[in-house]
Amino acid sequence: MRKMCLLSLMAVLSFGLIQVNTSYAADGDKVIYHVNLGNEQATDALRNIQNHLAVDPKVKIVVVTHSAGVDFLLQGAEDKNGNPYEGTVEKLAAKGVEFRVCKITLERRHIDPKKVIPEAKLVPSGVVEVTKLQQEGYAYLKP
Amino acid sequence: MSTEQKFSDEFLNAFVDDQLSLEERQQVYGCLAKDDALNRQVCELRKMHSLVKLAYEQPPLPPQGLKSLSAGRKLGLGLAAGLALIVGGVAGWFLHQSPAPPPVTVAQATSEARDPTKVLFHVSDGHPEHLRNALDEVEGLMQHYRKAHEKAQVEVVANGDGLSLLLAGISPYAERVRQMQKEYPGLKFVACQNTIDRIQHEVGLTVKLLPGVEVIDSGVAQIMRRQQEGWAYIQV
Repeated sequence: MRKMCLLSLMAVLSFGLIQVNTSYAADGDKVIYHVNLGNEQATDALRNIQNHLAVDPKVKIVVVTHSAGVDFLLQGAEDKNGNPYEGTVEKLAAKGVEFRVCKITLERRHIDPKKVIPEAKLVPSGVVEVTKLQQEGYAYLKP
Repeated sequence: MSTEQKFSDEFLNAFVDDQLSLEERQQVYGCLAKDDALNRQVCELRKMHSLVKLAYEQPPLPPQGLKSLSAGRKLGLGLAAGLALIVGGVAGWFLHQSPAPPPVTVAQATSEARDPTKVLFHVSDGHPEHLRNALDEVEGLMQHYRKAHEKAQVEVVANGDGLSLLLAGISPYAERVRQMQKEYPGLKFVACQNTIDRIQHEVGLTVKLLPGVEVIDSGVAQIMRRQQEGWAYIQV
């Protein structure tokens, strides 16, 4: 009877382990692009993401922005050559890339949330978002 | 003065395992700043501990090893687990028929059982504005977890130019670092030994760290180890 109990405990535990392993194997590549330095870094990030998708069209990409990194997701934002960011962001969003903006940054810098372009989604904190996504198995890239 | 006379291996192991009191730790830090041999010894110990942790990282379950229990205890545990299964099954059957169980109890049980969130901040840029931003982000995260009543273990690893954040007499934010160390027990500031060595060789400066700052062999190696251990990584 006691042995049976021990065996059943083992069975429950090992079943748990197997489940964890298979769920990992089923996931495709998931990547965070962390942007917090400003538009120059954002330009690099967008180029990197386009190349990333060209090589691996199935990759799940989330761009997490905070601090000066939110600037390129505000309405009317342009790169140093005067090209608007929104067109590129729209194209990437259509391919499944997600853009997230830190609410704490908007409050700290007194930016009206309405100025954020519709392709981007607000999150409570950029840093917490980066942490959470890694716990969900996302890799971290900083362009 | 020889290191062996000052600290026993056991004591240094406890230091590396973070099991010493604040006073004892400060005692070791004081000596670390002066004693190269001790520094190397601690680095070696840390390396070994990380390797051991890496080697035994899988499987993560069960949290309490069955191996450490005596045969009698194992059988007892088996019996208890079996009973728990039966009791759980029976209780589940009855609960299933009664109104829904209070969800609050379930939420509390899961949040208590969860491991603390572990986050490594990497600081490699020494520009004062960057350093200030980095501290703001770290503090924001600590406050977030405090508000959410979540346990968090956070390490700020400084290497390269970023080490200036942790240098006594040089850091523009020495006082803020001290306050943050005091305010958040789950927060550690860590300096890279490779960078310290480089500064000492190239500039001929004797590096003095802020109080309470820990030293690891290599910032880059630490980043790699921590990620393999399941820590989240953020470069600020």
